[in-house]
Amino acid sequence: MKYRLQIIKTNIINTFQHETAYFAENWSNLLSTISYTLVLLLFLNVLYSNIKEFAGYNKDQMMFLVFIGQLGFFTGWGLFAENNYFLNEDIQTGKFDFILIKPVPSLFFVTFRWFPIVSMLRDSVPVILIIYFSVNWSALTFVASNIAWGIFIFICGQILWHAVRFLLVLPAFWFGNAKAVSSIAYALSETHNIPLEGYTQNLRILFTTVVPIIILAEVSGSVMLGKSNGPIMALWALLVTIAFIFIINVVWKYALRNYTSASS
Amino acid sequence: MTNIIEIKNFSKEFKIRTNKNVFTGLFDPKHRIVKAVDNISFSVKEGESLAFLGPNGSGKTTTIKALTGLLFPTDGEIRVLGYNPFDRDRVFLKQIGLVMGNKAGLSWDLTARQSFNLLQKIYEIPKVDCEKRIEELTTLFNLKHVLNTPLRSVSLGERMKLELIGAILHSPKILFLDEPTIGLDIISKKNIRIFLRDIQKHLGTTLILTSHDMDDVEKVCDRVVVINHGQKIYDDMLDSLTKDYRKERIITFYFDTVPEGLASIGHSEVQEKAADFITYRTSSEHMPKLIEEITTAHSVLDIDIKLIPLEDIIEDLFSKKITAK
Repeated sequence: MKYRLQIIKTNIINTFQHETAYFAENWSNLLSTISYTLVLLLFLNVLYSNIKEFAGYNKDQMMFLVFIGQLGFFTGWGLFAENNYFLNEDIQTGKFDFILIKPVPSLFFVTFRWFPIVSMLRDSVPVILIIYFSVNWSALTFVASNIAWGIFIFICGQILWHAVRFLLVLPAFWFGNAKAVSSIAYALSETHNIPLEGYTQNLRILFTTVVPIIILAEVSGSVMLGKSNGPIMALWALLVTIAFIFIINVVWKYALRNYTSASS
Repeated sequence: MTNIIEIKNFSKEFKIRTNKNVFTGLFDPKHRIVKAVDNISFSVKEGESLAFLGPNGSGKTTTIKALTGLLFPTDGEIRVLGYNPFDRDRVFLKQIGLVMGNKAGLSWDLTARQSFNLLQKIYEIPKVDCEKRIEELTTLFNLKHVLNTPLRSVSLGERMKLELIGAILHSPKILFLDEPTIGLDIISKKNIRIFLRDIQKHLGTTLILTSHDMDDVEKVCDRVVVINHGQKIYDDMLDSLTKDYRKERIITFYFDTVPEGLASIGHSEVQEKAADFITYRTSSEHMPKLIEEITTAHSVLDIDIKLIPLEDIIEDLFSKKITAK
């Protein structure tokens, strides 16, 4: 454990040095994320000026769901997306050799080698603050236990969303490149703005079990708002998380056997 | 000395997709099997320096990758330092190093020192020892001035030397080198060869090298394994390979204009002919006679005498002029 923490600490420092190497990029990214958020808020304002409720969510509840969704998106994307991107690139170019040759557990290393704290703060803080100040908090009622269950589900959801994105990168071991396949994860992240109660029963099962991407925001948001049962949903999220950690480990071992190590 | 590497009947096949049609390839992919390495066996003793030679696509890099645990063998058994490389045991990985001339192992945007810092943590090298080793190696390679420069800003030669330092920072027992001097200038190549020979002789590091540069092989290795089309065609000491050729010479005569009618004389064969020079391949026994005949009959500007280059010897091997061992 101490060994892994030391590696993570060094990776955090190295990532910071990487991120600050191309500083001009930071401003472009900031503009991009703020633009996306403003368009999303504009859409919700137009929507709720015409309807009172959407899938049982009034405007304040919907804004809260968007808050959770974007918080989940930016923290998860910041922590793991770049790691997945680099994994695909390294498999494609054969640079993955230099990870496998090192005496460090490969799955651990490819998951935690990149900690873009600067990017995460740059992209998430302004956006989250914009949404935070757009939410009418006084119109929402919260129960402490629901918040606690919701946070637990949010953490499980974060692991699961990463698991889905990670599994979508692994075809690179067979096909040499999985950039297009893994971009499906980006498209799926748009589901974070749809309330859980809006899905049909079949879609709920699909997106909480087979492709568990709605646990992060929709399920945790629903539990925090008191619309779903916290303990049951938390247990479900935990079981699915354990199952997916197991699946990732098995598929990873199988993928390594198929690694062909691209030559120059 | 004990065997540090044992390969028995190692084969590696790759599945290559043949139907690349966007539509039909989805439902009927069709593959063909390419045998990169076919039933190779050999062993390496501790402290040996072995060159693994072969033309492009012969399977030498595939073998090195299997020895380092990067590729899973289709068939056969591989033991390196008593371990199955593909198990990627931490104790095993701490004892090997890999340098690939055509791939960068160190991070492009970081300085070498920052990358070495990560390696120090990964290999659990005591900080003081690591600093001392970085100091020694950067002094030896004259790299102290680029230690704190991002890798993208250093020259190719400096980068390759830094890659080498990264690969040996943990003092590996076996160092695998795949084209380590590719693209380097003569001085850098020379420094790297001297250094490799030095760690092999003084630290007992086992070296496994692949290179298309025969100077690398001659200066660094004692033993040669040659493979072609995935099969081993030669395995012996470098001296044994060159022994028969030591009696042969390549002699080039330079003229203002090569005299007309100059051709093969007795046992001396014309190898190359141009407007102002002619090159013969002959035995050392017939050499004096050849020189005498030509210099007596014609006005020669200069004479150049060489041993048969290793490239030509290896070429003979590929064309099977030399019996496989």
